[in-house]
Amino acid sequence: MEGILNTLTNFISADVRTAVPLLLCALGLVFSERAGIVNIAAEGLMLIAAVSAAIGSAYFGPWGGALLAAISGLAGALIFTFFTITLRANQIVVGTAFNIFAAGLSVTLNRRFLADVTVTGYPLRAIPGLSQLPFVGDLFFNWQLLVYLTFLGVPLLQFVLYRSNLGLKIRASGEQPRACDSVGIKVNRVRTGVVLFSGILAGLAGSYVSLGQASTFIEGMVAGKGFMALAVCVFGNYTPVGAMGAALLFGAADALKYRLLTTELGSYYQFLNMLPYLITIISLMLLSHRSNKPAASGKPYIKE
Amino acid sequence: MKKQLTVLLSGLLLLSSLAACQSGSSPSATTTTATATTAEAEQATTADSAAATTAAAESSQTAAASEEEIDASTLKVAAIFGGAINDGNWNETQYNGLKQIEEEGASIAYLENVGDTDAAQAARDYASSGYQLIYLTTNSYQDYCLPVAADFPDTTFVSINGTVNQDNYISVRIADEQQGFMMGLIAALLSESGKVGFVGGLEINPIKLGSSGFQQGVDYANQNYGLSVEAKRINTGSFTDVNQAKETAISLIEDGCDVVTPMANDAGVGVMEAAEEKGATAIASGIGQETSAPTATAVTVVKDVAVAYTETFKAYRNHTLSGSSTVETFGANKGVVYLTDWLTDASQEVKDRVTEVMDQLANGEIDIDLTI
Amino acid sequence: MNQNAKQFRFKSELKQLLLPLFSLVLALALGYLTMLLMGYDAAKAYQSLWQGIFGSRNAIAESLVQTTPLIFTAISYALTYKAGLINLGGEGQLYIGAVWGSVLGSRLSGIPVWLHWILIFAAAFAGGAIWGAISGLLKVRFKASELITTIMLNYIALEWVSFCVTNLPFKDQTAGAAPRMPTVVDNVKLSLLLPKTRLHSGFILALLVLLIYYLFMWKTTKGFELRVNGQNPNAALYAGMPVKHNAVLAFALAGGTAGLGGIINILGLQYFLTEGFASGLGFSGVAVALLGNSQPLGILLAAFLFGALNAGGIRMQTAAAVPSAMISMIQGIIIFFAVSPYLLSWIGTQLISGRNRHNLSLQNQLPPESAQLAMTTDRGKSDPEKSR
Repeated sequence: MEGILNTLTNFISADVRTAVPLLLCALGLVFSERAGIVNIAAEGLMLIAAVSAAIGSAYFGPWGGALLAAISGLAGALIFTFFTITLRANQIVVGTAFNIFAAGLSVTLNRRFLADVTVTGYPLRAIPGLSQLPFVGDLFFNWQLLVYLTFLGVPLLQFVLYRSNLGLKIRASGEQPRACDSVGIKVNRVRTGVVLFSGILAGLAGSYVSLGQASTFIEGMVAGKGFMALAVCVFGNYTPVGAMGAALLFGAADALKYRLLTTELGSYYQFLNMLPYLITIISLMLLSHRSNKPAASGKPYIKE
Repeated sequence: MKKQLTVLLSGLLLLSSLAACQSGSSPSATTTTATATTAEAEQATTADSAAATTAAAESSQTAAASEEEIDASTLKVAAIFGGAINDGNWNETQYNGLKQIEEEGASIAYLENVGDTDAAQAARDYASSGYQLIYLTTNSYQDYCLPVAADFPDTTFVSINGTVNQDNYISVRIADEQQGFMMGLIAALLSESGKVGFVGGLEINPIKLGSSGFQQGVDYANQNYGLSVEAKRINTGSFTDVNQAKETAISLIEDGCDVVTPMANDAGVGVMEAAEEKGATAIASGIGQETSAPTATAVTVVKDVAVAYTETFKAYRNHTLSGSSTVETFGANKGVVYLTDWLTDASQEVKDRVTEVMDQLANGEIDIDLTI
Repeated sequence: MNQNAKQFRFKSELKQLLLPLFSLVLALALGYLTMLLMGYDAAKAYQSLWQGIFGSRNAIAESLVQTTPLIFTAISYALTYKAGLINLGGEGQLYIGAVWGSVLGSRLSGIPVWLHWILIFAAAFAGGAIWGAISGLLKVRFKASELITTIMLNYIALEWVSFCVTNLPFKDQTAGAAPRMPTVVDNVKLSLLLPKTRLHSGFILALLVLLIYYLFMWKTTKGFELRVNGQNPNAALYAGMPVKHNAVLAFALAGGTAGLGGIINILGLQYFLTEGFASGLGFSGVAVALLGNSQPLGILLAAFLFGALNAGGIRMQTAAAVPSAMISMIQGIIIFFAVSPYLLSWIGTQLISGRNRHNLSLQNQLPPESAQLAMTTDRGKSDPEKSR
């Protein structure tokens, strides 16, 4: 019995560790997608944030890391909005360019600032009392601060998106930009706002890759997590709660993969590595009939 | 209008390019002429290299006559890396080797993160800009760079882990399997649970050799010290995804492995962190990896490829680099594979056994099977 | 077309050409500054970049070598883009095509070479086409976002390639060989266009495919249908076109083209498939297609720009010791500016905004033609096709 429980808690912990950065980034993407912006720069934003977080942590401690990551995410998002909203360039190609740029920048920053320093990861914050509970204590109440915040953010953002005036404006900007304009909503301002917000979240997500999952920065360590976050956003049907489900399902697929690696199947690791991607595709198939994809997704809005 | 312009232009371009290749636009025609040119080129190359060999022979004769060491400051040395020079492992030790060559007075240059296909172009670039000695840091460059070596007979190419030794292309073999063997042996000796884990990166030959060596190291311990330790070896398919390496190591530990070892360049740090967090023992395989697991690291089995650099450079200066038909192996015998001081208090018996086997390896008394 | 309109059109053609040029210059200037800031010899870097692109016969050949596969992945994106779909899966399609082609290319050594070529190309095209069509099918049958499925299929393809180069029955079984697929047989290797360089006749094939892309998209009914779907899906539906069928077809053709690109790089340059041999080609192809406005000539020029930057980038590293990271940054900056059609007018607005900020909206500064560069911006409105 204890063995089974142990296996289960281990499994869920692995699930959460993988899911957190995807979810955090996807929460921001849900908002920018809803406002009509397709942000494939998420990968690059996370990469730059991951190195910024490591630099901040090395020189000012973990809090400094989080702050610097958020700032770098914001700065990256500013570049993205300048080109896609102000200059109305194609969102996909600006995202692609940003990712290429970010790959170079992260290496440059790493070499310059992280050669001979020690990076401290985010510390675990056990919640007094609750974390002492058998099994569930360690599972739910012994994580880094950012993990609690991420999961608390889900209902909050769900509320903002669906129950607040702001959420209405955001969703309207993605569905009916022209109608929005006619009732006085400044579409491009709303869009800029959400992209900046999603930049901050992508930044924090990146910081969790270098300070939460590990306590170091390695060039190329984001390894597609930004794209996975985008997939999580779509396959969570563009809602925060959906994204949480999707991220946890994805994390579970990943956790399962690692457990299967230790069995005889381990020599076919390539097929195990495919698991999360296959599950994403299958889930998209199953979700087909109720899509919240905004009508004006990916299209720049030009005021007439 | 615009459409027509585009048609016209594309048409013109196509025509002109076809005209440029001159020998006719039908594929078969192109092929025949091209085969001819290739044949010509081959002839030319053979002639070239023949001339080069005589030249080289002459120069080595004169050198042998004068026995004069080449002044390091007159030399330009380049290296082409497949990964990042700060990976704490394979590439970093080689970069250190290059740095030591610089300290001896040579001027150096390097390229990192070079894909296999681009390596040929990079090698050609260095060779044509006057670099006399070019290090190719991974065996996957070999197929692309052999033709370059043929085109530049005056440049010497040193292929780390290459398999070919001819004229100006010299291969040295790094004994990856010895590093794996020692890691396996130590892991087996330290294990209490009877299960030890190995996390490899990309499934390339050096890693496969290391992995096979690990298994043989564990087997050796089982046979000679009456143990029954099981080795679990996993490849992740990545040298950079730290989280993947870490989660893999965690699941190995949760599966019962109490000693884990990485051989995954950059990503190896993840394995060290997993051991530290989950209270397992780790055996490090790269420089500085122990800082990621200060309490968990037992010892580091270093594979310091820099030694191969300084030795080959010295040989080059003394005109002794070339000629030998067998590829030289750099392992424990040359001080490429060695152990650092122990960081945890293993029993004296374990330490003695490890030292003994290490010596045997260095003296060539242990045969490791190299089939992968 | 009256005289005025002609003149206007000529002017805007000129503008279309000047705009990317201006962006390029601006981006290079920014790159220059960045390099200076980081303490590199920027002048020497650009000098060696130029040398690496045009400096010698070999340099030009290398630029074209790097251009070749980009043409294929760019067409792969452009074709679906014109049909109103997003295909970020060029890389995966290229790999699958290369795997299928390599399997045949390393076998069947006895048969006539022309037949062998046909079989190899057919296999590569089919492999890529099937891989692409999966996204198309998922799109029309399940409304699954092709943006996501193509990226996922890229990852799956990469894992599959990783399996093929390390496992039987696909891997090269030569003793001591690095992980790879077997070398293709000698007589199917593509001939060199310039002896003693690496420029192979795959470049001619790329131009040929570009021409076919043009003829198909602009001269056939199917191509017309695809473009209508891209410009106005409702109109396509209303006109009774087989919209769903066409979407799958577009993806299959796009995938097939990418697959051809993969096998051509194997037959002409690599001779055997290794893991990661096409790394980054997919996303660069996207940038090339958008930079080239999905037009054949534009794709050719943009692909050359990217290919040249790749080739010259190597020289920039060897001769001026500028690290590859710096080159990625400069490439990113170039794309940023090169795909921003409103850059000039934006700068204009900023400069005169002090005087009469309110009189100038960005929109009425622009001739209709340059709006086309924005691509997703109200597609069709400014398409030359429609003005006829």
